[in-house]
Amino acid sequence: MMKNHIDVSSVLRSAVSESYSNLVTRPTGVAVRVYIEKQVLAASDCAVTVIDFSSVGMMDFSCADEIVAKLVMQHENGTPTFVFSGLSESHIEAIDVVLERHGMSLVSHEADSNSYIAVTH
Amino acid sequence: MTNVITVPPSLDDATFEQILEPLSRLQPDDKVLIDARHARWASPYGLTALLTLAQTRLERPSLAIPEADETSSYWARAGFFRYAADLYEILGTVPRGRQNDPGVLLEVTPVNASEDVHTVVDKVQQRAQSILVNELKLDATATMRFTMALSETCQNIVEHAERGGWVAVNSYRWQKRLGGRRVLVIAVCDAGVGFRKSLESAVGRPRSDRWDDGMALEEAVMRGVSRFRDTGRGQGLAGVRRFIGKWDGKFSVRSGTARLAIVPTWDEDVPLQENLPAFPGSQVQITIPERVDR
Repeated sequence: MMKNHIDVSSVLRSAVSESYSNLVTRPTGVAVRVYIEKQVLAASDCAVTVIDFSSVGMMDFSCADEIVAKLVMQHENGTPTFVFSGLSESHIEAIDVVLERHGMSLVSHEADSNSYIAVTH
Repeated sequence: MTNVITVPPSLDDATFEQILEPLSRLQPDDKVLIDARHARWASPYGLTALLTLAQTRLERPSLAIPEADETSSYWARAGFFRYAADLYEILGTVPRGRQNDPGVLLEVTPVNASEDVHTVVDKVQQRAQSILVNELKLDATATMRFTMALSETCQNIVEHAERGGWVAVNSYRWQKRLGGRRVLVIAVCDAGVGFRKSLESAVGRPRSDRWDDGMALEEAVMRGVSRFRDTGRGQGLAGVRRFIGKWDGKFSVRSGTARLAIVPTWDEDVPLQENLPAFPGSQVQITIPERVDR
């Protein structure tokens, strides 16, 4: 199965600013999501897209909502499947809060302790 | 005629009301002199709120700066005069020269756009770790939550105030309260539209019998209501409230004529104050105390 791997930190630097390392503010979240969407479209033959947060510093609620929740909601048909990896404890906390509001939650993906998918309650 | 308003010796969120009370009786274009000559101390809230006060005046107000060198030097190190000089006619000699103050985690900083929030977060992140872990005895994960709280409160200005505001973060030791524990204080103040008007701008907002500043604060802070229809909105301050609870901290938001506070056991504040002197915008304060093992 082909996987598309997207490094969010690189996307942040390309889409918003070379000097940024934190995912903060809603406009930043929108810019990052739009950039990711383009990469997803360009790799439409991949059934799985891994969104890698391992080089991201802090992520606030606005970015968690724009990047994770909206990305999942816009691909509700499950194509591709988004796997979120490299999440820190604080990333998970922010994502959990925003997903809950949309009736979703993070669950571990294939017993990998640091890979998650978002599922509807 | 110039209306003189005296700044109390110790200026914080509570004593700032002593300035707002006489100010609320004046017209926006009345001439005002803010007399801080006898001020001896100011919290981040006091300094940022003084700047927003000037923004609310149609006639440029005057500010008589503190006479005590120690106080005016501290206000200078906190970055206050850099912006006060644009907003006030300054009476007195502003101290020159710059020295770092170990307690000033973030100098008074303007917040006008999303880029400013990035700047604030980047500036604070490194030093916050040292203060939160070494001085406040919080675990290392607190740094990320702290910067999230800072980011969300600053974004509140960018997203809703329709006017720029100010943020400042200091740590200091309380002399009389909490047995002399250290605290970290974030203040984010603006003179924008405030919570009530922001929520009123929501299309299709249901009307209720009771609608005032207090209810607007309850809706936004306690229930995560936003003027945007997008269900993902309105999570910022509600999320901050959750973090504050984990740290036994205090969170207060003043807007218009009301002030809502999440009050920890160590404080005697009231959860909701109404019929306060009217003041534009919103003024947020977060207080995180040093952790003590019980």
